[in-house]
Amino acid sequence: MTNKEKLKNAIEQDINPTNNYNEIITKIEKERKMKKENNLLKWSLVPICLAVFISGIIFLNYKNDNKNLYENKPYIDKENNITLNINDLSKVGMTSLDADIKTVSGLNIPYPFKVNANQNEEWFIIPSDLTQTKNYIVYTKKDIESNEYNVIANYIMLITDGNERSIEVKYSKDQEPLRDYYFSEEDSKITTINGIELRIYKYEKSFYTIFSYNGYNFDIETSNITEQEFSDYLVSILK
Amino acid sequence: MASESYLSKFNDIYDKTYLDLLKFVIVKCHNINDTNDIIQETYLELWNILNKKELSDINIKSYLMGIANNKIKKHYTILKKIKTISIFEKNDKDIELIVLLEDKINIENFVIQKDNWNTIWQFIKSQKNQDIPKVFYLYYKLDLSIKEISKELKVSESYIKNLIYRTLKELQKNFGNGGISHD
Repeated sequence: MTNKEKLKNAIEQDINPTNNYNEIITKIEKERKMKKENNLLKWSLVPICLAVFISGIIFLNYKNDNKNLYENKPYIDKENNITLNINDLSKVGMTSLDADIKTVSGLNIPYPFKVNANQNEEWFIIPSDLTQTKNYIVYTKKDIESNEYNVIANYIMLITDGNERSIEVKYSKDQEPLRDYYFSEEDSKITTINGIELRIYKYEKSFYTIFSYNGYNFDIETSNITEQEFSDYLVSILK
Repeated sequence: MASESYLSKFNDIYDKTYLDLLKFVIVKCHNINDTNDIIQETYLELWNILNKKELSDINIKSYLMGIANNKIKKHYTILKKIKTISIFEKNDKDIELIVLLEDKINIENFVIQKDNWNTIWQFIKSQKNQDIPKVFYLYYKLDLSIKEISKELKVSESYIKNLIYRTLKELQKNFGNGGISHD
């Protein structure tokens, strides 16, 4: 055999039509197998996707139902004559207090809630950690020229844990208590507790409510009190 | 198993076109080591096309070359192309070398120490200048003339002769037994 033939043979072994053909057929079979497996996988994914889809729909419906239940529908307790609506506010209008006031603390102030012989203040449902109660009287001037603060604007009963949690009850007989914020009552929903109508607003970690009861105008503001604690308190004082 | 009717048609095309496609790929590729891959990819694509549509009214050979051309383009990134650029002068007109090759340097004059032509072919393939294995393939395997190779590779005849001469000398140095024998 000549050198040329030997080299030819070596090349033939490296780049060989039969080897290439066999490789091609192997790849064709491999591709077919993969396609088959992919098809199988694809069809096996159908019921899984369907299950996920149905679960998603059920979940969304459940969520929507709950949304309606908790966010749009009021809490109704027919037995205790309560229809509770919380108006969630995106923002609260703040304003400066348009009056000169003087606050005097440590005084005995009139008690605005109904109390009979068998009841005392502790009967009301107040969060157990709110152990401190402070009373204030807010005075305003008779007129702008006057130097004397001798007109009672309202009373304040501040129930607090001495830190960040508090219920501040402002009340007044003849007028609405002074406050430095306002709410638009438009579209706000009314809460009814024992036939008394009030509007409850929620803003961040505070609840506010305005109502008239027992001959007083009330303005209650809370700080870091839960919805449950606040509603329990309201239900207990409006009995 | 692959569908019998398609397989029969495919086998027929393969037998009729393999050599032409091989020559086309050898000439066009940047590295002779990629030849098998490109050929297989080309026929694999043809197989997939045959399974999808009828190719009765076309020149199947040209069609296959078109597929191969696209495969070659896809096969080589710019980086790969840069890596395989030859620094060897393609327009070398060394007349003396041509004379030497024609008159004295002949592959049959080599006395190879061990009859290991597979290793020699691997050595030829591993050359940085990939024109070397291409020329060897076309010249010694496909029996093309220097003129035909020069047309296929679009290089001068002297360049091809120069490549063959230098490579044979290199082979003799690495695998020969006492240098080139002149009859």
